[in-house]
Order: sequence, then C-alpha cells, then structure tokens
Amino acid sequence: MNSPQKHAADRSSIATLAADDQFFFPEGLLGFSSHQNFTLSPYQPGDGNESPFFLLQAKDDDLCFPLVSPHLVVSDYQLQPAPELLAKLGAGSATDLTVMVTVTIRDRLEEVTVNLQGPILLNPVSHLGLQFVIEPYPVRYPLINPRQI
Amino acid sequence: MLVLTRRPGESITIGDDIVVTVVTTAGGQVRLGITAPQNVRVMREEILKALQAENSAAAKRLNQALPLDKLAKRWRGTKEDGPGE
Repeated sequence: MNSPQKHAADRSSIATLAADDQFFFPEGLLGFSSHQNFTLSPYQPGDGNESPFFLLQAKDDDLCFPLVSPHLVVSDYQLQPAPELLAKLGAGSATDLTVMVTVTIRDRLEEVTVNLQGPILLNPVSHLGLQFVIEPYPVRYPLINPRQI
Repeated sequence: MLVLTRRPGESITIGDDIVVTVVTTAGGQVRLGITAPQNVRVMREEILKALQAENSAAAKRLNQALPLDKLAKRWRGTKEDGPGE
C-alpha cells in the first residue's frame, strides 16, 4: 500500500496519496480485463494547492489511470444507467454512484483530453466499479477549454 | 470465420444462451437483435476498439512523471479567470 511518506520524497513522481479507497471491477476496464482490484486516491499536487484529479491505481501492478469528474469538464454531463447496470454495482439509483472519466495525458497540456464516452462508475458503498459506455459523448474531449487557451 | 446465411426474422445461437436475430435488412444495412446474459458485453466493434485504445493511451505507470501539477495549475487558471497563465 502506498503511504504519503513513501511518495513525499519524490514530488516529481506521479502521486502524493492522502486517502485510499478500494474498488473491485468485476469486468476490469475495457482492454484491461485482467486488472480487477484498484485503489482510488485523490491526487495532491506538490505545491500544496488543490487538484481536481484522482488516480485509479491497480493493486497488483504499477498501472494507473488519472481521473477527473466529468462534471468539472462539461456542466451538463448526463448518464442514465439501466437498472441491470445499477444492480451490477449494488446501487439503488444513479445518485448512489460516483462518476469519473479517464484523463489522457499528452505531451502538450493543450492536447490533454478526457474520455467522456467511457466513464468509470464507482459505488463508494459496495466498492464496486465498472466502465460504462455512452455513445453520444466523445472519446477525446479537451480537458482545457480550447477557447480559453 | 464461420459464415451463415439468414433471412430477416431468423436467428443464430452462440453457445447455450446467446441469440443473434436478423431484424431487418435495408439499404446495405443489417439490423440485429441480440439476446445475451448480463455478464456478456455486447458492443459495436469500433466503439470497443476506440475505448480500448483510449484506455491504453490513458494508462500510465506509477513511476512515470506526469504533468498533473502543471495541469492542475492550468486547469485552476482557466476555471477561475478565463484565459490561463
């Protein structure tokens, strides 16, 4: 398990972890079906300021995915999971779920995108997670509003 | 690849509990109905491929230096006062 101490010495490395939450993904992520156990941690920048990012880190590997809430990127992000999907996550309604999207880091900050089409749904109570698909949303949506660059 | 000919309304089965039915054909398009257990993921192939590729692009190694600090700073800048630094 990663501790804040372990990472504090290496601020240039990926993470300073403050709190961990464990999630089990029965189906893994698309293309990563062999990884089922993950730890979700808020990402804390080395400068002590707040950050919107989280890291979803595989427990049995050094694989990790940067995440962010889609609601911070687009104001009207909506998904309507079917009852069967809610049941898979042990959730009664969509409001029980935490929704995150993966952040794809590229060389230039302006090229960083979020995957709005394949959100990660998490149930913080059952500690179950899965990757959902909402076809109308784009796979690559700029994190930083192009109009503001 | 196994190739079968079916007419609208006819089906094929895969294993014991997956049924693929040709619903209609029109204008070079085939409309399929699929019945499968909940634990079987059914998706359009190009959608699955695109999401797998994007997950691969998003996946990082823990020891990899990522510009998340810079990104968080830039992101705060754009949220708070429009144009960034």
